[in-house]
Amino acid sequence: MTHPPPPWEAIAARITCETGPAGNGAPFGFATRVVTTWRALQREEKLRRWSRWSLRAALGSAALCGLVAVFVSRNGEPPLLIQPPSAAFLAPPLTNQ
Amino acid sequence: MTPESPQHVPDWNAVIERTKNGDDAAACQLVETLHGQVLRIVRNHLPRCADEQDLVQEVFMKVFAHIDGFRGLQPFPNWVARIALNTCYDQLRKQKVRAEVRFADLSDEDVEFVESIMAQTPHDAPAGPTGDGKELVDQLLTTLNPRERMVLQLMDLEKKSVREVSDLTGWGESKIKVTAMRARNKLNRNLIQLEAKAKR
Repeated sequence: MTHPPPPWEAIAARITCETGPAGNGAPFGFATRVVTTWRALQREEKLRRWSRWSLRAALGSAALCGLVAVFVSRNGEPPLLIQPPSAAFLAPPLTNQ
Repeated sequence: MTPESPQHVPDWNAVIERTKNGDDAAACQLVETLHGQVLRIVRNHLPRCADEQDLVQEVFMKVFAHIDGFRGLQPFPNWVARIALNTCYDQLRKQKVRAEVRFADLSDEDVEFVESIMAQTPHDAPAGPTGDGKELVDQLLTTLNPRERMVLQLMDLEKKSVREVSDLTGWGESKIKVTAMRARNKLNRNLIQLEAKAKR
């Protein structure tokens, strides 16, 4: 005795999904819009990469300067960049009035 | 899968090469030729998606973003189909999975359809009018998780073989078979419950 197919299989046997291309080509201007958006994204991506590279370069340079300053400070006098200003510089100018 | 109409199959290698070199006309030709194929995939997998053209655009953005990585190991339209399927899969993962289809959600036609399926004898002809019960199928598929839904859509509704599904999705064949079996069992349980409620 044969059993009927389970319900899902029976439904699936009745349904046929189309697999060919849908519609009559892309809507007017769709392809141009996609390509324009893509090019704009490409330009933004280039700019983003450049910004990231320049940020890294700036941070790298700052780190290098810091290392040089620390290295110089070990050899005696504090480096120029972190040397405290002299008292003479801070004193107000003397006037006769 | 029939990727594009046979009357104008472009020389894909040339189109790809020109697109890579920044030729906008070639990029437009690529979009025009494959639009129908991508739209069909989106419609089959996300039938209630309101912004299908946005999704199609997203697919082409991914195609352009990764076109440098296309090695030509498979036909270009198949490679694009795979990207489209992955995009639909990502979209399905964002959607909420319904616990079950309720009897109250069904239209009269869907109820009749379920009853006619349940009353079917082994000798009944399985083929019926195309499109009958599609709404019900859409509702049933929303109760599956994205992977199950995609596998059943491809295997049971688009009638693809396990091998084809594996090629398209990149999933292993045994995994696909297990997923399909679990999904069918889940849907059958749901349908039997629906029919029981319909009889009450």
